[in-house]
Amino acid sequence: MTLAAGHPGFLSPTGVEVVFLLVGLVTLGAAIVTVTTRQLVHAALWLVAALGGVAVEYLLLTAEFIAWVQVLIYVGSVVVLLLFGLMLTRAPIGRSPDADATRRWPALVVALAAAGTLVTVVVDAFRSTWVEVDGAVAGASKVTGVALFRHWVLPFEALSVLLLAALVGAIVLSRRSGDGAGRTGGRRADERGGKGRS
Amino acid sequence: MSRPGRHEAQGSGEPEDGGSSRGSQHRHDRHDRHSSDVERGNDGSKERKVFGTGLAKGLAVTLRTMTRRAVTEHYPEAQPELPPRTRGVIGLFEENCTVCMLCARECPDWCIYIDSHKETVPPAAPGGRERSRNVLDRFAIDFALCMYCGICIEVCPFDALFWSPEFEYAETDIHELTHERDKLRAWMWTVPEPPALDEAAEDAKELATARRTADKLAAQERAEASGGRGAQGGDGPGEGAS
Amino acid sequence: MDALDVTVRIVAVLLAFLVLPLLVGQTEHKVMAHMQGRVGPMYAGGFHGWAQLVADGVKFAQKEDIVPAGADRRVFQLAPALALLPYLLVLVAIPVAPGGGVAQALDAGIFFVLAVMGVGILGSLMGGWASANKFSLLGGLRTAAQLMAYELPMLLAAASVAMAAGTLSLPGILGVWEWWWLPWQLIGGVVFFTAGLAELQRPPFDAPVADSEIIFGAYTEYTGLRFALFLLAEYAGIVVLSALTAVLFLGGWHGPFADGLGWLWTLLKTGVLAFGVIWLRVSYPRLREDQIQRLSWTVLVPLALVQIALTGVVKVVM
Repeated sequence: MTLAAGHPGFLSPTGVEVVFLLVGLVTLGAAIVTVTTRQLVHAALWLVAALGGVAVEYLLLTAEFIAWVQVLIYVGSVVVLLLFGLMLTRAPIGRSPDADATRRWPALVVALAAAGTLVTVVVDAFRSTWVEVDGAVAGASKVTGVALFRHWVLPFEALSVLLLAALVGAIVLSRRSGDGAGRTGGRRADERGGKGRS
Repeated sequence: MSRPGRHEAQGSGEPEDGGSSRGSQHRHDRHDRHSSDVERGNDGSKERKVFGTGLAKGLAVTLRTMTRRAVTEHYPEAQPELPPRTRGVIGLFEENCTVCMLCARECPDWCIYIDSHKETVPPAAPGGRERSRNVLDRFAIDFALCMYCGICIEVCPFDALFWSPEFEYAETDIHELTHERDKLRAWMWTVPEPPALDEAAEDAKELATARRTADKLAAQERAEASGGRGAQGGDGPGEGAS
Repeated sequence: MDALDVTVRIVAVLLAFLVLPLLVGQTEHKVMAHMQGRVGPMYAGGFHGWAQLVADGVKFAQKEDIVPAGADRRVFQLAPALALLPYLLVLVAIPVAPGGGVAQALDAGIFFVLAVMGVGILGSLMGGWASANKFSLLGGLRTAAQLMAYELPMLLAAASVAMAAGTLSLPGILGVWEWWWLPWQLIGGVVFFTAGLAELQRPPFDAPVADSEIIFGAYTEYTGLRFALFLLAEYAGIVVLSALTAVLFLGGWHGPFADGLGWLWTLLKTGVLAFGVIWLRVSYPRLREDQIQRLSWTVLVPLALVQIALTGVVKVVM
């Protein structure tokens, strides 16, 4: 990365820049459809497109490692988990009647605020940084690894602890706590049976 | 969850199975091997099985099967080798048929059609009475109805019906499955020789009777020739052979 | 890399993608038959039914392409392509021979390969949901559950090799490979191969398509070419999994005369592993859904962690 002091500007875009912009537009479109579509599963599938678009953007910025991790974790696992959840609960084909959120405006405000904050921070942080796309790969796994485990090792470890805590919490929550839960389950089953009979 | 139960059932069922099939040497061998397997399995569960032996065994079975010849019959290319008693089709030996109708009456699904008429034959000796005789006009079997039970063949008192291993007589129309006497007669020539008897087996009843008569005759002739009374002596060996 | 070189590589990958799965499929026909005491296809093509899959392809192409009335049309029609294409992409990154014998060397090859293979599952999920059929939905659910259970041990096992080699690039891993990695990474290899089988939904992990319970899982409603694409994806998956296992754990092109015959070694190892996949299918009964989950979480994940610890210890000590 070099400082762009009078360096290549935005007026004569290269091919990569054009592609970057186009993919960005597609990603944005997919993201908007994700939150506006009335069909739950379609929303999840459009999310795949949006996340994949982000991965392509990473690739175009030569952050190969991050790109593949993005595909592996988000497209390959998170969306699958999402779809699994949808299928397990309720995933009608066609419109979901309750997909029309009533608190649309507050949600929009929150989304805009979050986006504004993020854009401001990112623009402020990388104002004049220039990624040399044609040169050495700036986002190769080696570079990423060095940055992660040398400069950012503390946040990384903190994140690990956070994830571990989440994991333990999930296990505790999903565990049946001995007799008490078993009895409640039994009672519920009885109730259901009673309803069925009446 | 169902596996242990099935295993137990197998373990208790095996010895009985083996007991009933003790007659054949081959089956006997297989049973022995199997029962020793079962015993080993019981021992193993008492001690402790090495992990993965079951998995390896499964792989070994399939691999061994792969190296052996497939049991597939290549039927249209190669005719199958059918055992002589195969119930393929029923052949008719007309000369033996007396139109007694036993087969048609015993047939459980009434698939045998027999028509006949009476003829009078001149007396055997001059001055005797004329005899009447049944002449076969039609003998047909509807193989669309036939269930290959073989009762007709069993009941035929004069050995006019036989099993043939021939089986390629499919038709495209069910009505054409009623085959007439010419077809049944043609199938008669595909009936194989009856399987040879065992070395130590008794002769067929007819053969034994014929031989005894022949022996008796021979003994009589010998007795006449020598003038002595050797008839009893001649009987002895004949009985011993039968 | 000039245009001609790129074209040749792309054509080679495409050819491998079109030929190898059919080869595996035909081998499965014959090997499975003989393992069951049968002879398998004998007529198509004349000599021992060698053209059976070609005939199958022609048959599939002639069939009517049916979309159920209640189905979500576009998702339903898109699913087979999404199931098949990832495997084509993966083939690009698999090194075949030393010295540039790979269509496209990638810096994070392992991640690329595993990530893209995971995407293929989305095809089954989409098909399962969009079919508007309860059996398809069940198949999709099982597919998703299986993927989530087996992605972890697979990644961990692959990570072990990456740790050992000190690189994420597949040719790079093969570059530093030594024969004693074979016993060293043995556990990881077994875990990787088993988890891969489960991700491909091959027997004994074929509960998602269990024909005796849920017809054919997510593919129940598919006919004609789209169904053929799903089947092709399965066999392409076998090729990819076998090739990956060969590259990561069996040393890929390494072997006598590796300089000239490296590609043959890769193909040979891939072929042997593909035979193993078929062999396992014939030998073992289907695992129940809970057994599948238990195997992953209580056996494979701990084993993979043990392998990683072992790799770490050896790496530090040496």
